Amino acid sequence: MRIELYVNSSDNNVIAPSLTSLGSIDGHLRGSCNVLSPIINFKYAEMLKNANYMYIPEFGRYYHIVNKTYDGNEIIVNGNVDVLKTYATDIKNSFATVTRTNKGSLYIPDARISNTAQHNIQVRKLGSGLPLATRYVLTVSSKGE
Amino acid sequence: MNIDDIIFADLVNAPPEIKNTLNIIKTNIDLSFDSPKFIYDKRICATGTYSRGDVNHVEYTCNRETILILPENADDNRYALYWEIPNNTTIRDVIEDTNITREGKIIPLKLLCKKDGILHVSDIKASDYYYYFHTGWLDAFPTRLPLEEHQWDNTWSNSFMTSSTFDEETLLSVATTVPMYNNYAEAVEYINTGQLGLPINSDINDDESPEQVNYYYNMELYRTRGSYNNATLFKTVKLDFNMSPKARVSGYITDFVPYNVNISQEHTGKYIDGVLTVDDVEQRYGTYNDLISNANTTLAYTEEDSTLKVDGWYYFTNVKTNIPIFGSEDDSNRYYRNEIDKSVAKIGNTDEPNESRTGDKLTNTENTQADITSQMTTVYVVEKSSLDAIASDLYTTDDNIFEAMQHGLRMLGQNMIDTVCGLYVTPIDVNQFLTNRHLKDIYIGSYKTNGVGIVGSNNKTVVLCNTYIAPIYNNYLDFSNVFLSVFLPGCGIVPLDSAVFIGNYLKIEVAFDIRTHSMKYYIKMSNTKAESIIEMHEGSIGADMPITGANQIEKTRQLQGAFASVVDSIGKMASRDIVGGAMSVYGSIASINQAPSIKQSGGTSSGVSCFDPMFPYLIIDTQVATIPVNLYAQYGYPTNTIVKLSTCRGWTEASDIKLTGNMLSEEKALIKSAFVGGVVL
Repeated sequence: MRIELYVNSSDNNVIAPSLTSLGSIDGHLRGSCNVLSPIINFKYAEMLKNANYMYIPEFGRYYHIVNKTYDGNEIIVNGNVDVLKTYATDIKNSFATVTRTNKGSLYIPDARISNTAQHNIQVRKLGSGLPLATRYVLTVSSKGE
Repeated sequence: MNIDDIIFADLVNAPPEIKNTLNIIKTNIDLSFDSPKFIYDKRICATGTYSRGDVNHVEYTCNRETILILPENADDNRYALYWEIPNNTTIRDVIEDTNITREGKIIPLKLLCKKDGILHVSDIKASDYYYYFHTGWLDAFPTRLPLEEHQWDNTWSNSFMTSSTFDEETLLSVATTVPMYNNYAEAVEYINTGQLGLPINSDINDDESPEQVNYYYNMELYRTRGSYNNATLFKTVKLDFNMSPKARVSGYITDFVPYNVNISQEHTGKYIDGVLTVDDVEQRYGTYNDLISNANTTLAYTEEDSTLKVDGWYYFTNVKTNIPIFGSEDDSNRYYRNEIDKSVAKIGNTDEPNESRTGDKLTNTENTQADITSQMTTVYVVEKSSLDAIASDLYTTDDNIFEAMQHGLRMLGQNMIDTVCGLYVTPIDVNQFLTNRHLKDIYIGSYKTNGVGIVGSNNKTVVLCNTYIAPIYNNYLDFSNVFLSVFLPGCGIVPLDSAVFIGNYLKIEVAFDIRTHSMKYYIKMSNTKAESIIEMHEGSIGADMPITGANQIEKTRQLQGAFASVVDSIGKMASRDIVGGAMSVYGSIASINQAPSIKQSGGTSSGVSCFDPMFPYLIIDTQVATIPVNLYAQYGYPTNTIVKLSTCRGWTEASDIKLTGNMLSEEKALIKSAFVGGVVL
C-alpha cells in the first residue's frame, strides 16, 4: 500500500503539526497488526532516513514513527496513531471543560506557580495617628465616701 | 536651599497660571491641609499687611517669621511651616512696621502677604514670592471660621492680584492646618517624606517660665456670615492683654459681654486691659477688676452673631474661702446670693439640664437635704496646670488655709477630697472624641477652676486613616500570599482578611470612652459601593492613678504624687510615640508581638505605664512566589470554562471532553488523556 511520509517538526501534542512532505512510498504490513500501532516493512529508500511521520490512506490515520529497524534491504517502521491530527476536526467541534488556555484569569490559583519559604514584611504607618495631647481626666463623685 | 529658593505661600483663588508659576497647587478658600496639627505653645509672630479696598491695613508686627514651605513637586500636597528668623529678629524688609509690638499681644486674625519691598498687596506680581498664613492660638484647631460658603468675587490676573483678593472676608475664611516645625530641616523632611516628625503640637507647658506663661492665650474671633451682611463690619479687631506674671485668666466674652470671668474669688495683682476696636473706634472694655465687678455693663458693643472668646490662664495665688462644691454655676451663684442654705452642701443637687453631665441622671430633691442616696460622677478633662492647682489647694501646709478649708468642709458636711474618685492621664487629646465640649468651671466649694475643665459628653469617632490597599501581585497571590494585620495603639496587632481589603479602602475609626480611657476601633472596608464595619477591637490608652487613701490627707498626697510622677514621664512618652521611621516603629511592634499582652492600662501612683506608639501601622506579610518566565506565553492562563475547543488557541488543558466523531474508544481515551496533559490547539 502507498504510504505518505513526512517530517514532523512539532511536538506530539500539537493538533496541527508542522509537516514537510517527503513523498509517497510503498510498504506492506508486517503480519497482522494493530491499526493504532502498525508495523510496516519498507524497501530501503533515502526518504525514509528523515521521515518521522506518516499517513496511511487505507487506515485514514496519521502516525508518529516511533521506531525504525534496519534489516538488510528493508526498514521496519513502528507507528503510533496521532489521534490529535487524525481527529482534529472532531476534537475542535467537541465541548470540554477547559482548565487552561490562552484566555483565562490571573485570579484563579495556578499550580504552575509555587511559593518559596521567604516572606517579605513591610510596615506602613497609617494616617496621622491618634490626636495627641496630654490630658488628665478627673472624675468627681456626687458624694463622698 | 536658601530662603529665596523657597516658594512661600498660598494664594486664595489663584488662577492656574499663577499656581503653575509658583508651584502653588493648593489654593482655595479653605486651605485644608492634610494634618490637623498646628501650633499651640509657640507664638506665631510676623509682620503683615493686607488691603481692603484702597486702605492698607497694617495688622501686626511681631518677632518671628513663619514660613510656609510648598513642595517643589506640584503633585505633592504636603506643606509645612517652620520658624526661620530667630526671636526678636524683624522680618526682612518688612512692609511696614507698627507700634503695636508689645509682647504678649495676640491678634486673632492674621495674614501675612508680602514680598520684600512691596508696600501694597496689589503690587505683588506673579513672579514674586509671597506668603500668607492665618495664625492665632488654636486649641486643637477646631475653629474653622464660618465663612467657607461665602462666594467670593475676587478677580485675578497673571500679572498682579487685586487688593480685593485679600479682603477681610477672605482673611477670615482662611484656616490652615499645617504642621509646624521648629526648624527648617524638620519641615523639609516632612515635605520630602510625608513623615510627621515632631510638629509643634504640645499643650501649653506650665513648666515654662512665668513670663512666658503670661503670654499664653487662646483666642478665637469669629463672626457668622450673617453678621457680614450687616452694614457694620469690623475693620480691625484687636485685643490687647497685659497681664502680670503668673496671672492666668480664663473666660468667654460672648457677644462681647464678658461671661465666665466673673470669678468670685479674690484675685490680686491681676488685670485685663482690653481694647476693642470697631470701625476705628476703640472701646476699652475694661480692666480685669471691671470685668469681675461689672461684667454685664463693661462692653457696649453687642452686635448679633458675634462671638469673642478669650481664653487665657492665671494662677490662683491664694484661696481664703470655704469650699462648698456645686454642680453648676447657677447653684454657686445662688449660694453666694444667700439663696441656698449654706449649712448643707449642694453637690449635684440641681435641676441643671443633664446635657453637661455624665453619669446617672439625678432626681430632684429638696434643696435643704443633702444628696445622700444617689451617686453621680462627673468627668472632667482638666489641664495639668489645673490639676496641679487643685492638688495644691487640696493639700497645703498652710495651717490657716487648711484649717479654713477644714472648717468649710465641716460646715458642708463633706470633705472635698472624698469627691475625687478617679484620675487618669492619657496622651490622647480626648477632646477630639467629644461632640459637645462644654468649657466648664469646676466648683469645689467656693473654689472655682475658671473654665479649665471640659465636661465630657457624647462620644464620637475619629477617623485615623482611610487607606487604599493596593494589590501587590495583581493575581491570585494577592489573596493567597498576602497576610495583612494592623497595629492598633492600645490594642495590639490584629489580623485582617486580605480578601476583604485588597483593592478596597481600609478605614480605621476609633472611639474613646472618656470615663474609662478604653477605646473601640472600628475597622471598615469601603469602596465605591459600600462601607462596612468588618471588625471591632477594644483597647485602652490611659494610666489610672488611684486615689485610694484611707484618709483625706493620704488621698491628697496620692493625688499630688500621681501628678508629680506623670509630669516628667508623659512628655517623654508623647515625644517618643510620635517620632520614628518605619524601622524603629517596626522594632516596637516586634517587641509587642513577642509580648502581645503589652498595652496600656492601669498605671500606678508611682509611675505611668508605657504607652503604645500612637499610630496605626499596617503590616503586610507577603510570601514570595516563583512565577516561571514565559509562563503565560507558553502555557496560557488558568481558566474554568466549558467551551467548544475550536474557540481555544495555544496550550490547552481540558477535561470531560464530549467527543464526537467516528473514532475508536481507545482513540477517544488517547485524546482525553492528551488534553489532561495539555494540547497545543
